[in-house]
Formats: sequence, C-alpha cells, structure tokens
Amino acid sequence: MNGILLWFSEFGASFAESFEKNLIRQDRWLSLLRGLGMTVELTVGAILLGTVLGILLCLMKLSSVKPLSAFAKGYIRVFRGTPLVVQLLIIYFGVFGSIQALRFVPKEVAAIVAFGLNSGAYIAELLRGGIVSVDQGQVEAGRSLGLSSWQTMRYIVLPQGIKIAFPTYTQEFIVLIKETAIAGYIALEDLTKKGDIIRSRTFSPWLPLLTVAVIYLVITTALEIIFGRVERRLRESDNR
Amino acid sequence: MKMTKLLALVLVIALAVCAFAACGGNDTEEPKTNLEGVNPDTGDDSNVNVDGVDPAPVATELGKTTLVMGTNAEFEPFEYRDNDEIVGYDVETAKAIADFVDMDFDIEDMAFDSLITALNSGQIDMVVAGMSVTEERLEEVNFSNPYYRAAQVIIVPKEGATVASSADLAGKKIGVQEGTTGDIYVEENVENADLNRFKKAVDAAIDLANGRLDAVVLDEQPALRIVAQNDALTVLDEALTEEEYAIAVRKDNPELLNAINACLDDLAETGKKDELLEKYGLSVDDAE
Repeated sequence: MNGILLWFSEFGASFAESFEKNLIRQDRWLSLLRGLGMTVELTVGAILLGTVLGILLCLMKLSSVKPLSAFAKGYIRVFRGTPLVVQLLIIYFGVFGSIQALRFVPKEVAAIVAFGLNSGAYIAELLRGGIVSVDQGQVEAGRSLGLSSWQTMRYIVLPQGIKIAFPTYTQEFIVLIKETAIAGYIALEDLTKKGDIIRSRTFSPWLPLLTVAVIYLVITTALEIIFGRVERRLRESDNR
Repeated sequence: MKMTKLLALVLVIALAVCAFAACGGNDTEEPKTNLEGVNPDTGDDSNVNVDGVDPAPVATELGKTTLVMGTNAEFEPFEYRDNDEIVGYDVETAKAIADFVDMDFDIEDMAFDSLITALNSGQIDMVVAGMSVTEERLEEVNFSNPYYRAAQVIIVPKEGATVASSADLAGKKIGVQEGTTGDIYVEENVENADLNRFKKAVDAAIDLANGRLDAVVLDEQPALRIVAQNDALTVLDEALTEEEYAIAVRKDNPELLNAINACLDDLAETGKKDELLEKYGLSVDDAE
C-alpha cells in the first residue's frame, strides 16, 4: 500500500511539469513518434510475411500429402508452443548472428522474420479454422455440379472460409501490434523501447509508459473500428 | 459517431491520470507515520553511537525489518551471478550495511534503467549497482559518499577494429547498456552515432564480437571482465569520463543515508574495504 501511495506521489510534482520533462524536453515526443514508425514497420512487415506463410502452411496442413501436412503440423506446434520472445532472441542472436551471410542484415529484418514466422503459424490455424468450418455439403454440391476439387476449393470453399476467418485474422493483426513491443530485447527502438528510454532518463514511473499505452490503445481502437466496418460489409451478403 | 466515443475514451484516460496526480499531491502532505505510529522525522534519537549515527531509527524510518538492495547483477565484479547466487563487491558492502543497521537483507535483481524508479516507488530501499553520481540522478535520489572511481571505456574487436579512439566513434554503430552513463555519454557527445541500447552489457558485447557493432561503451571494470572472457575483444586505453560510484537512497530516508555513510567509513577504517577490493580484484587506488 505504501508503495502504491509512493507511486502516486510521483505526481506530487505537478502533472504539467512531468509532461514537460517527459514529452516536450529534448523533443521526446518526436522520439516516441519515431518509435511508433518502427512499430508500424515491424507489424506491417510481419503481417505480410505471416500471411504468405500462413496460407502456405494452411494448404500444407490440409493437403493429403503426408510429409507436407506433417511439416506444417510440426511447424505450427513449435511456433505456437514456445514464447515469442525466446523465438526472437534465437533468431536474432542465434540464426542471424551465427550465419555469416545473415549477420549484417539490419536487425529490423531479423525482427520482422521472427514476428512473421510466429504469426504465420497462427494465421495458418485461423485460416484452416475458417476453411474446415464451411459445411461439407457445400463441397459435395460443388463436386456434383461438375467442378474439380480445386475449383470447388477456389470458388466455393475459400470465399466462405476467408469470410469466416476474417475477424480472427484482423485480431491477429492487432495482437501483432502489441507483440512487437518485445523488439527492445534486441536493441530495436520501437514505441515501447522509446518510452522505456525516456523512463531511463527521467525516472518517471508513470508518464512515459502511460503515453505509450495510450498511443497503442488509440491505434488498436481505431483499427477495431475500421475492421468492424469491413466485417459488417462482408456480412451484408448473408442477409439476402 | 465512433470518433466521439474514441475521443471520450481518451478524455477519460486523461482524467484518470489527472486524478492520480491529485491523489499524489495529497499523499505527500499527509503526516508520515510508521508501523509503530511514531513520526520518524521528529522521533526520539537520544540513542546515538560513536559515529553520531544510531542504526535503530533506520528500521523505524523504513517501517520494516528487511533492507532491500536493488541491483542489476550483470556488472562483474561489483554484482554478478555465481551459480545463480548474486555476489560481488557491492553485494558484500550492502550486506555489511544491513548488519550495521541490524536488519534482514534481501536483493532485487532488475534492469539497470529501472533501479531509480523502483527505489522511488518503494520496491527497493537502496541502489547498490555501481551507479555513478550524475546531476539528473541527484534530482531524483540522494547519494551516499562515493566508494569507487570509475570511467567509461571503449571495447573494440582485436582485429579489424574501425575505432581506435573516442574521436573515431562519430557515425559508428555503438552498443551500450540502456540508462547507463555510457548510454548518456554517447547520446550527448558522439555525433550521428547509431546507438544500440541493450538491457544487458553482455548482449552488446556479443553483437560486437560477431561484427554487428563497431564499439561498445561501458564502465571500465565490467568491460575488463567481459574482455577477459572473450579473446576476440579488447579495451582501448582511454577514459571517456570521470565518474564516482555511490549508493542511492530515497530523498525521504535521511537516517538510512547517514547509516550508509557511517558504515562505509567503518568499512574503510577497519580495513574490511581493502579486503573486499582485493577479493574482487579491484584497485585500491580507485577506491575512495
């Protein structure tokens, strides 16, 4: 209790003073913006890589070719079953650090690869979830109309499966924005790390991290709103 | 319509922060009382010892029986892990302080850049972490008398080094430990540095050894220990700064500060300090 009261007492110095020190002085707000740029770069890079990988892995897992589905299963198990931060450290210090050709690749790329490889596993599963939840009768109907199994997949199952998977997919995007906050472990300066650096200079326990939290919240809320609209538009066809 | 909701949300958060601020303001004005209901500021201190310091009020001032040292155990030989146990010069000094004030002793190992925040929020009672005294830190905490002279030095690869002195640092890829005086030195003194701030100095050294960095700026003693364990690295013979390590305490703990200073004097007078310096391979000339 005493500790909590002491935390609050940091605000004994007026809020305005703390604001000046943590955000205005030395253009610290600008440094946060640059960090936000890095967060966006990492998230967008990772979602692109993750989507490509996710589609491939999903098709592999659904495939009837045993080695392919076994590989996809193993991949998904490994990447979903271990902490992302451990994966990031292994990929940066281990994989990229010990292979001569990869050593001088910018660390943003190493981070995008780490986040993308991880995201691929989750996206594969959410896509698969969408596809398998399309009623088997749809496949039978397609096949009996004379479509090949690929045509059935392409024109009947996939459009419906993707629509079912869409809300989870957008959620994965939002999760990724927050997960890139561990990029600071490899000395990458994303939004969280920038806030942390300000904290290491001003020693303020509240303002730098609260500002960072509010920025994340504004972005994720804005995205939820946008994705919500798209989702509603996708649903319009259901009510005919 | 949604935008108004968003705006409302942001306003609510802003209000909550202001509420915290107001709460904090009130809190500091409340009269301080400890567990026994005694005001430590006006408490009876007739029980003074030879050094002019009575250890007993420290426990009263802190309102507990355990003295918690905060440190970052990645700083050999001052604090480091030996078979998962935290040992080092600072740890033994801190233990001596706990003995001196007759309190139990505990260590919290955390990120270096979080130590002062943790101190002021009451999670720890003193920072003993090879922490240099700086103007910025003095605004937040009080420091004991200094106990060791330190300097920032440059670590470079033995072969193919692109940095031969501090003049070469400009525009280079430099690794530091976040929140340390090395971090601040490079930020303020080196032009166009590509600064890589790691949570642990050892991670910066790993990236230097595998060629991703041109140099690492770090405190001299830990730098020497890192180099001793890594054949590919060496330390340049140039001190970038002159610094003094001291123990940090909260500004509202004057009794603890007095006791720490008295204990440091005591360690020096009884020769215990020299013993510790020798035990951890530190130079007696740099002690003070």
